[in-house]
Amino acid sequence: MRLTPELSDELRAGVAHQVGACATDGTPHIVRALGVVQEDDGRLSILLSALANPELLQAVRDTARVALIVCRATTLRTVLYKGADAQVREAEDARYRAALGQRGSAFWADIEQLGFDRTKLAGWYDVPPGVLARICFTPNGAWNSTPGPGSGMPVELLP
Amino acid sequence: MTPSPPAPNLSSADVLSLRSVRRMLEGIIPPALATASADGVPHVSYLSQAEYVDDQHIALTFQFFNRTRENVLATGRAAISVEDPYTGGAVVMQLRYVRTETAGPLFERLGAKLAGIASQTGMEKVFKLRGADLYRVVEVRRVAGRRELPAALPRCDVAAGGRAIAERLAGCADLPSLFDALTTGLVGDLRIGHAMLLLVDPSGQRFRVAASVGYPVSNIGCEWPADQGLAGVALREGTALRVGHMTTMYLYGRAARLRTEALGLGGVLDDERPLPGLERPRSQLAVPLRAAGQSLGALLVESDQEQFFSYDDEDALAMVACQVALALVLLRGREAAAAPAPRSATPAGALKVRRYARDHSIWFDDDYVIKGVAGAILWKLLQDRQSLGRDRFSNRELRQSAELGLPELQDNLEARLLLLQRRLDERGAPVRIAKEGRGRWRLEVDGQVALLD
Repeated sequence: MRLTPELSDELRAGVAHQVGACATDGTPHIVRALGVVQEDDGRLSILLSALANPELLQAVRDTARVALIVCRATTLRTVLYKGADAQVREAEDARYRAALGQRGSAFWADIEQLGFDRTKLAGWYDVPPGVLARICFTPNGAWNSTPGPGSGMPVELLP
Repeated sequence: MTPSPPAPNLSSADVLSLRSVRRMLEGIIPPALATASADGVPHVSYLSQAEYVDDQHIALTFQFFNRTRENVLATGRAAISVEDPYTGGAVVMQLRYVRTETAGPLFERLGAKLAGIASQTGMEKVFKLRGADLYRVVEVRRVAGRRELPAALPRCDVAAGGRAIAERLAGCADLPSLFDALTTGLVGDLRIGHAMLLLVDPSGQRFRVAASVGYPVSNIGCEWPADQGLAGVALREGTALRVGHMTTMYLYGRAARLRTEALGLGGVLDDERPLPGLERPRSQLAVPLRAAGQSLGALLVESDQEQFFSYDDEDALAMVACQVALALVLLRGREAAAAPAPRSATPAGALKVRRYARDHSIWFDDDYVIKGVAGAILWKLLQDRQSLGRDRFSNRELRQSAELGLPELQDNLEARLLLLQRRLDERGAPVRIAKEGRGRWRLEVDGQVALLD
């Protein structure tokens, strides 16, 4: 399945990301991700530092299952995606580095409207060479997770 | 090609104590929770609150039956991601579900915080706390690979500041000096820039500002229902409430409100209510005033900075509020005992002073006295006397009282007060005003007065 144009636009608009996975022993893992790139075939690549939570990456390798939640800080518009064919791959290609920079700039622009000081959080996007990884997956479902009534309702994806 | 990320190699610096990271739980950056179903399907959700309970436990709000809830009850496991907005650091905690509390202090504390936020966005009917989910924290691990900044130093020695305020309060022999000592101490000893002392009226239904500091308009005498805002919830629940990320929480409430309205459920919402104080506070701390078994009001402090108030501030202001409440009980009793004997003939029982809000007309028993702005002034003075114990007032504070409806230019306040003074004197009324100096007045009342609105 693929994202609608509206959902694709949201991913570039400066959102926060959290990724979840579950190890084979049932341990849940979570870590902040830094951006999402939509591949030409509709798959999503979640960009993150490989140092941040190696156990989560291992859980994805072992189970191929992943959950991704994205939230725009200024509106709290939130969408949850899930996939069951996830793979962990390197992301040192210039294309991903460029996307990381764009997603970081958009994210700072959004949260600065709330009074956040980007200098205090600049380390989030300061991923050293050689450790930028991506979790690539096909979204098999999406759900509205904006706070309030209607949270949990499915969001339409394209076939 | 699949990279080979470094294997987990935890040093002692990577594994932290819960206490050392508890300030991160106050949620300027909303925490996120990962769970999984019994067959291993992961799920992630954002949280509105995570509350430090003790060195081994945290509590999360249970508001809705959803996938997260289902997973937690099925597996008993969760992981939470928490960020430090000041250093750029982060931790991930592994949690084990212990139980859900639906009553008791923890439930009340989480519920009160939620209600305080909901109250400001008119969402009280939607944001209902079903339970406080208690989790044991089995591991706190620093997120590796982040470039972190040093943590900021505290703004002052809070314990010493609290002690200094206590000493100021101990020297106060009347209510005005008590209010002055409190506001002076909050600013000077605790570096708190914005504060209001709110006292409830005898019915317990309305707050009235008794003292304030740090606002363009003092709001002294301003009233609103005593169940609104963070102070209202603190009063109702009898517990201190601290929110260090009002912007985020306000957005949370707004987002839910918009969603509710979009689904055509707007009928369950209350109006959003702007309350006196900072227009957009970023931090608030409300402490109830309780003494001798009575709820007397609340102390509300605010800041335009995120996470301005700490656990230490909460402790210090809870102590200060206790002392203020005890002093209120003692000084009110002393002032009542010292009330002068009636000077003129008074009706049997209390004088009934009736106000008609439509035209601010004031009636003593069945006799019309005055109306308009002068009537509004007289009503405010009598209310301040009854609820705050104040009998002295100034032109300046009257000009700052929005409810009087004085024009901004050429308010003729002095002339209105002289008219009021003459009208009361002509009637030989048991209520009078007398000038004490330039721009300063005193309210004199013989006997008991019952205010009827």
